[in-house]
Amino acid sequence: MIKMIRADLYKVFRRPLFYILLASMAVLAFLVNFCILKLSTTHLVYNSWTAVMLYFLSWPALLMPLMIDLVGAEKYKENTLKNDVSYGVSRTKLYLSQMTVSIVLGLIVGGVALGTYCGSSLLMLQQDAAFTSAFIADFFSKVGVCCIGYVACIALASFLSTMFQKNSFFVFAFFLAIYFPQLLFNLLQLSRLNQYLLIPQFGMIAIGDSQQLMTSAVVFVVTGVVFTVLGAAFFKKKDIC
Amino acid sequence: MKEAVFQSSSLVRRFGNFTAVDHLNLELSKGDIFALVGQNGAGKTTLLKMICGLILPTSGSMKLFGKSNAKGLGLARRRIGNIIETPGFYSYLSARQNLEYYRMQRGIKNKHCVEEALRFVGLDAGEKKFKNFSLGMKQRLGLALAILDNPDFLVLDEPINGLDPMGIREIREILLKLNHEKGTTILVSSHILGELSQIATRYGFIKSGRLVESITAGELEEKCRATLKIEVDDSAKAADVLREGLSLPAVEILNDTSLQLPGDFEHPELAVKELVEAGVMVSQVYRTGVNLESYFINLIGGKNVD
Repeated sequence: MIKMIRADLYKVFRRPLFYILLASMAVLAFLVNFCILKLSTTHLVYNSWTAVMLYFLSWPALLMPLMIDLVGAEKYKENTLKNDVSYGVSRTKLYLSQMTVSIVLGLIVGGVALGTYCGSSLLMLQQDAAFTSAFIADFFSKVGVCCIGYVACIALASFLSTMFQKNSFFVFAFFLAIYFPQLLFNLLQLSRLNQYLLIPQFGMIAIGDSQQLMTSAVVFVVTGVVFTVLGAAFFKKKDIC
Repeated sequence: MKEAVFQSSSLVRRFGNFTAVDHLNLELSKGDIFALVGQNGAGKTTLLKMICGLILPTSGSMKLFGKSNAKGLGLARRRIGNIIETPGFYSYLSARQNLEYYRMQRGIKNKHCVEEALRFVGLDAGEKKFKNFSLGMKQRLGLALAILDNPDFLVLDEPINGLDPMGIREIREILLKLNHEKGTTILVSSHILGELSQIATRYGFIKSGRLVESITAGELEEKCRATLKIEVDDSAKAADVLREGLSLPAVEILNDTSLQLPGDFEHPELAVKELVEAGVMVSQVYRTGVNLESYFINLIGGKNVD
């Protein structure tokens, strides 16, 4: 599996789209702080980081299909999956290695975006008394739990890309899968079930305490494991055309 | 006895109500160049995909290098190189980078195998990206990937599609070289029957998912051999007349009223004269013999042949 991961990283690191994505994320992260500096009346790091927690924690989840597109979905598009499978590689290992590479890429992109965001805010904005070490620890623990949620999104997107193959329909299916159940539960007056869904968890993390972080982590892990198992099982029996 | 590289027993693959491969029994021995011949939709590609593990059989069993369980088949497939339909590669990578990707993925220790494979298939594309390759270059790169890990068995689905005559000849020479020098077993499907006839040692004719005939190149040659056929009222008497009168020992009696002379016998008029003078009634004299294409059309049914 290590060999497959190394090979996929070799490939992705030669793909221009990956660097465009990295650069775009860095520019976006920088622009948020630039806007705060230019448009806000208070130029505080505390405000900037609070804005991330309140509004932006769920946004990276929407980018996760891109990580799948860079690795697994691309194999359908370029018709290369048959080269992997016909060599007798274990399909389960192949599926898991693709997911692992997507997670690694997500971490790299997230690291660059977060690094640029934190760095630019610290450089451009002012640190006030509210910007304490406790606040910083709380910020990073919340971001850390959200990363588990992003991994769960990768598992979901990977499962959907396996189902819908080359068709970009999988991206649409992904957005449907993460937003539609919430609407449906609200419509059916089953909103108490929303607490088991991915997107509402990001909102709860923003305002929640450590207990909430634990609950969210459990929801993310369970979702991630369920879709990984489903995706691997589906992939194992799938015809590669 | 030669090692069996591939064996299938009652192999079936259905897609809904459509049976693409229907109780197919086939055996390939080491060193064979087996040509799989059939119309579009006959089940050739489905069979090749099952051998390569891209699709699973509905029922039946198969063995690769004597292995039949899932793990054994997986390991056996590492000894197979293949081109199934059009070669697929990453469009933004060069030929070298694409092969390097597969070298890394497959854990091939010989770092020179990429250069060796490219040289073997005669592909020198430099840093040109795969997306800018011609069809012929793509086919060559597909073949380079197929031989990257020195396979014992090559499964090739229409490997000369899109190649110019020079390219076709080069691929043929490569396949023969692999077979003669390394003993590589080759299973190849193609619609270009004339090309197949130049390399195949065995033929399998497939129709509606069933293997209707499997014969060696020698047997096929025998069946397609040109002959002179003579229809008479008494074939035994006619054979004696020709053997004695024209000193033709190779006269073959086919049934009571017909006999056959070698195709290279150049004087049918002399044979007729001898027979008539000996009181044998001659009703027909004609030359027979078919090429691979005619044989295939006769066998398969004659319509919708590409």
